[in-house]
Amino acid sequence: MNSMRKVKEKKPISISRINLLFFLVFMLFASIIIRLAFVQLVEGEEYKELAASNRTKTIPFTAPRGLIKDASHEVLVNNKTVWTITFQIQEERVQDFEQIADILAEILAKSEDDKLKVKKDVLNSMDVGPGYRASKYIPRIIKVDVDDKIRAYIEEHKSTVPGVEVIPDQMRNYIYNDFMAQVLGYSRSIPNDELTYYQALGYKLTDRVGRYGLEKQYESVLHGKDGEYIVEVNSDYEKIAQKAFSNPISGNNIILTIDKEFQERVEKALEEKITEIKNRPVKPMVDVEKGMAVVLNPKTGAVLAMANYPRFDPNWFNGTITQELYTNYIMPYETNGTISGRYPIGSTAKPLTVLVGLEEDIITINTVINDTGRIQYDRKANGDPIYMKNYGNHVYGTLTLQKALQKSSNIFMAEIALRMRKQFGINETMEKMRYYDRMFGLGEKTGVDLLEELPGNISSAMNYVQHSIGQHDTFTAMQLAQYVSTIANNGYRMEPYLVQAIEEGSVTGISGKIIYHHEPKVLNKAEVSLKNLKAVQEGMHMVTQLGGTAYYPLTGLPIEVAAKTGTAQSGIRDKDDHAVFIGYAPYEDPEIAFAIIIPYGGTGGATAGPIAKEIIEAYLEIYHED
Amino acid sequence: MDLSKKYIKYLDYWVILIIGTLAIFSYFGISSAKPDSDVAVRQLIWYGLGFIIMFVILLIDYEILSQYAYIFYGIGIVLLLGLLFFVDPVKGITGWYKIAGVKFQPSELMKIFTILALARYLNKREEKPFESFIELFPIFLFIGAPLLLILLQPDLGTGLVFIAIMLSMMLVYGVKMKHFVIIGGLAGIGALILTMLYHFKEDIFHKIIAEYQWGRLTSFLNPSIDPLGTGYQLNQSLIAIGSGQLVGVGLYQGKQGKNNWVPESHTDFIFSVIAEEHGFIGASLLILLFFFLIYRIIRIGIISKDRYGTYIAAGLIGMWVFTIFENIGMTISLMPITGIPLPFISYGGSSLLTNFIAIGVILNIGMRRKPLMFE
Repeated sequence: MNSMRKVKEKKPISISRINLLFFLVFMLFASIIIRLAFVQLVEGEEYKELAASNRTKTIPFTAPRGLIKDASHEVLVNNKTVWTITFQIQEERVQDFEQIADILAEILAKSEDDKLKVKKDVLNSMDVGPGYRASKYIPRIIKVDVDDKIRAYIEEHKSTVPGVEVIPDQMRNYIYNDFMAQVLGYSRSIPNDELTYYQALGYKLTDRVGRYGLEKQYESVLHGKDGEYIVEVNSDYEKIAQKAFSNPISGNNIILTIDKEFQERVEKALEEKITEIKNRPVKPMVDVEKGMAVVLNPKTGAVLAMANYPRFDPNWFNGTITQELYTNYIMPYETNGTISGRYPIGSTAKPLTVLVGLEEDIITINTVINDTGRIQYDRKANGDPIYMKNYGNHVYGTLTLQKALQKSSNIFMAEIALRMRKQFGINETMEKMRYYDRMFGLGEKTGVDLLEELPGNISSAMNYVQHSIGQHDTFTAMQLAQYVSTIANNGYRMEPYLVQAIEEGSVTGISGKIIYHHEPKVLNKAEVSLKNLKAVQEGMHMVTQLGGTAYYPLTGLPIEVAAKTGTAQSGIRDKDDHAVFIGYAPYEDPEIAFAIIIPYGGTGGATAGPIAKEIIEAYLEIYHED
Repeated sequence: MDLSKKYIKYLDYWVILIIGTLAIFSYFGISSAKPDSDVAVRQLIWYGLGFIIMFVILLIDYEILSQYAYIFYGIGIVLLLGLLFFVDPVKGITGWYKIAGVKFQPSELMKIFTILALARYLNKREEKPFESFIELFPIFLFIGAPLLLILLQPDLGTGLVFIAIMLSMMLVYGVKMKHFVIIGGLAGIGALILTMLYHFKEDIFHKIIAEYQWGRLTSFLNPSIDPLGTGYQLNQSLIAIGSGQLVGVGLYQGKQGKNNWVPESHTDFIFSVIAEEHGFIGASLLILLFFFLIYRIIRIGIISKDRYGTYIAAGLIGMWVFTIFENIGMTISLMPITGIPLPFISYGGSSLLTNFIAIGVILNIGMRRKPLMFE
């Protein structure tokens, strides 16, 4: 009875409340189902895409850069695949820079290194501000070329060094170190202000680009197309599985006109001569620092040698360049002096002066001028006469134009200049002289395939008499070489070129097919009569004969050579003259034309002449082995 | 104390079947979240232990549980107080005792003890209505004491479970609606004071609610505001669940949990893993199982032979419904993130055994029900 009462009492209140509770439960579960349906069925597709991008990472695989080969397809520059540690500031992750540097220093420091110093270097390379050296979004290169052990260690401990990656990197390998350094140039990371430009071209921020020389000029040819891995990663960004892979496409190879052996001989000739004259016991030429030489094929414009001394090792640019290394061993020699070093050309201007005289009917082929050893061409402010004299105060007597060139008479040239002035006036004389200069490539860019080429430096002074003996405007060795080539090539001015062909690159390094072949290009034909030109050529030939200024240095060569020496005043009181030398050979049917400048090297014949001889000998040995 | 034929006949086999199915979900959920570990197998062992405990409880008439209810409650309070004396020097007050390498969370058991004690108290009142709001204070004391101790740990999620238990039991007892309105009003005033503090005295505010808790509580409103901070878990959970779509990516094919994108994927966020692998079909099947379980418990509450059983059923419903709603809700950005496990699914011994004790108690009530009129 008691239990019956309980039942009666219980039903009316609790059951209705339990029904209310059940209704609330139903509402809560219904809301979960509705929300779940929305997330999975409505937004599902969107989340699926997010999941994919969330979990996959694209790792670029840098394509090898194209090779640089010499004329006989010998590889001069190739690549080395190395592991490189990079660091990227990631604002979306927590990064303790100090701790990361600590860990990296621990890994990188060799037993003899001071860990604190290594850490400081690492932190410096990480470039984490304040005041970033490179944009925050560029990965920093911490260490190039680390071994597999270091790489494996970092891969295993990636979560402790957020932002650090070990990537396969292509390091440029300049096989012969400083060989042809200024011409080959170097590649380095993209400079800050060109980032957007290169990014638009599809470059990665860590890519290296050609920054000087052929590396820069042929960047678009040498740069390959990167491949990539697409990998799946976990929340620590560790690789779990590889999903896709696309092969990198190697950059194309460039084949130079230069033969490695010949270039090496020219470089060596410069080095030996400069070392000798700097260090000789009697009258050492202490001001000599560098020298440059250019050898062209006058008929095609092909550059056979482009030599600088001293040089640097472009391999240095693969690593970190200290201020000390840069200031002492790179900066003074970084520029390619053959195309950017401008000097007065001295007496090497004389063949052209004679040619101008002939062309402008100032003299004829048969004109004879009496060289009295001095000629007055101007007056000082106080009325004293200014005289032009010959080198060494020589008196040459009656001179034909050929003899004038052979002896390098200043008087003969001054006479032409003075006669021109008398006929045309000073302005027109100057104009005419420069007109012929440009016709032969002096004072203009020669068009060689290097971006660093400078035109000549044109003086504003009206020194037409000084101009006739090459003491006026300044030109580069490259321009001189083109000038002498044009004389040798009977007035056809050819465009010089370093790259004769482009070859399809291959990852394996096996030669691909030739996709471009350079055709020699005539820039212009000098408007001079062949008869006059021949007369000048004869004069230059006589320079190398007994009695000529280049007889002694070139004696003993089995072929006939045409040349002209130059000893250009440097214009600096305490310093020696610049030694200049131009020429071509063989005289009858020229195959090479060359120009040599040794700044502060003294007389052209004595200093540069032996280098010219070595160039001709090397040419004969290498190109005429048979 | 014997299991007579009648009891075996009245045992709710549906509940046991549901728990068995949940065990399957739990095993596959945990093994996909942690494929390289033996936690899934360990969970099955806990399940085995759970079933044993459940059957042991079935042997004890729940009337006896009623007699000892206050003693259990007292033991629970002592265990919670004891935590204050084992303060971890690094983490501060923790919610567990570590015994022989196994973590034991007294707050889990305390839920059951509180339900038993409050049910006993309500039963003793014999349906006498609470005339004034002040009269409700014993209920507030029963709930408030453990709640306070748990909030000290600080474990907001479990604390909220106690409030859900209280509200559910009050509702079933028949507490007047106007008193619920007063509770709602008081909660509203409390929230208003906190809001004021947040805006004008943030330092005091964060003394009451720790900064990380506040972040977790608010990030669900807009998980993408801080995708790598407090919103990270939620974002990754949503990505996991959403990419499951209708049919799921397949068993062991899920990537979000396995590769640690979803944190705590074998415990608090296990629902994300299940929803990713089994899609809407699998996830809603799991939710329906829970719903069916709740339905069976409600049914037991209705047919129980006395009010004590009804109140216990109400308390358990409050406990489980809130826990399930909160846990699944946080994975789909319906509720703020709090660290409470999904009953019967998440890995964890304490929680699983507590739930088995609760199942034992409710089956006990159901099996010892009054016979139906026509029997």
